[in-house]
Amino acid sequence: MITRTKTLLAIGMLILVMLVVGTILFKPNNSFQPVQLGGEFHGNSIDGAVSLSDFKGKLVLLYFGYTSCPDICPTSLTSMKFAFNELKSDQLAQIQPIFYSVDPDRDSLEQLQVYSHFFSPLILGMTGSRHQIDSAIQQYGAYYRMVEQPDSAMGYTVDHSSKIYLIDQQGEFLGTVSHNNPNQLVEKIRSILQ
Amino acid sequence: MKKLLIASLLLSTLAQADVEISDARVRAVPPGQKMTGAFMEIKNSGADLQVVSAESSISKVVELHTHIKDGEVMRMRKIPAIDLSANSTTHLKPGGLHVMFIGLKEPLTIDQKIDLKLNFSDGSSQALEVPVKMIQKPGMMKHDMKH
Repeated sequence: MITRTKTLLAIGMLILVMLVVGTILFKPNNSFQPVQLGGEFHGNSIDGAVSLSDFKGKLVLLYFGYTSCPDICPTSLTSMKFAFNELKSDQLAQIQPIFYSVDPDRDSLEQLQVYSHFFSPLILGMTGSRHQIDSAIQQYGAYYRMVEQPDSAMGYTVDHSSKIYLIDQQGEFLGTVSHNNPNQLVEKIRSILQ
Repeated sequence: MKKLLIASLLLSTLAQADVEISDARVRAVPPGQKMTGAFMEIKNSGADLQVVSAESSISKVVELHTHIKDGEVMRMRKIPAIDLSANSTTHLKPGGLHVMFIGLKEPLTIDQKIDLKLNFSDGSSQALEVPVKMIQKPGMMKHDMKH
C-alpha cells in the first residue's frame, strides 16, 4: 500500500516537474516586450449586453468612474460635453463615448443612463460584473480601488485613475487624453476623424 | 442713533472672523444623485484659522473633503478641517478641497439657493446662500489643476 502511494507520488512529481520545465522551455519569452494595452471589453447597459466590438466603425471614448463621485467624474463627462459642442454633427455620428461604472453595487443601469445623459445624450452608461470590470480596467491600464470610509457618511469611496481612453474604429487602443481638458480632447477627436 | 449704528457695526465685525467668501457654488448633479460638492474662494484677512465643520438643510450630512493626487490616481478623503492661512485665500475647487453634501434630501435645480453655514475654529461662523450651478467648462477656471 505504502509503496504504491510512494510510486504514485513520485510519478505525480515527475509529471509536475516535466510540466514546469516544459512551460519554461516552450513559453515565448515576452519579458522584454511592452505590455499590449486595449482590447475587447464587455458589460451591460440599460439596452442590454455591451461589447467594444459593437462599436466598430466608431471612435470610442472610454471613461471609468462611478456616479457617486462628486467631482472628478462629473468634471470628466463635462469635458466630453464641451468637446462635443465643438464638433459637427457628422463628426458626432462617428464617436461613441462610454461611461463605464466600476461601482455596480450602487450604480443601477437605469441610473447610469440618467447620469450619462445629464452630460450628453451621446454617452452610453454601462457597468459589468466584477470580473468584466476588472478585465477592462486591467486591459486599459486603468486603476480603481474601493476604500472603506468609516469616518465618513459616504461609506466607501472609489480611488481611481482618471483618463479618457481613445479606441479607434477598428477597436485598437490609441492612447489617453486628460479628463479635464476639453480643448485637447476635441483636437484629438478631430485629428483621428480626419 | 448714529452711536447705535456704529456700535452695532463694530459688534458685527467683531462677531465674525475676518473671512470673505466669494464665487461659492454648489454643483448641479444628475437627478437621482445623492451627493454633490460646493466650491468657493475663502479669503482670510486675519490670523490662521480653520473651517471645522459645515451645515446645510439640503443634505443629511455635510463634510469637508479633499482630493489627494497619488500619481495617476485621485483619492477623495474626508478631512477634519480646512486650513485657512493668515492673510491668504484658500481655493475650494474641482480636483481639490470641497464641501461635500451627502444624502441630498431632494433634487437640486439650477440657480436654487442653498443654505450653507461654515463653522470656524475661533467659534465664529458664516451663513451663506450658495447658488446651484451647472459645471463650468474644465480648464477655464482661474486656478487650474496642474498635472
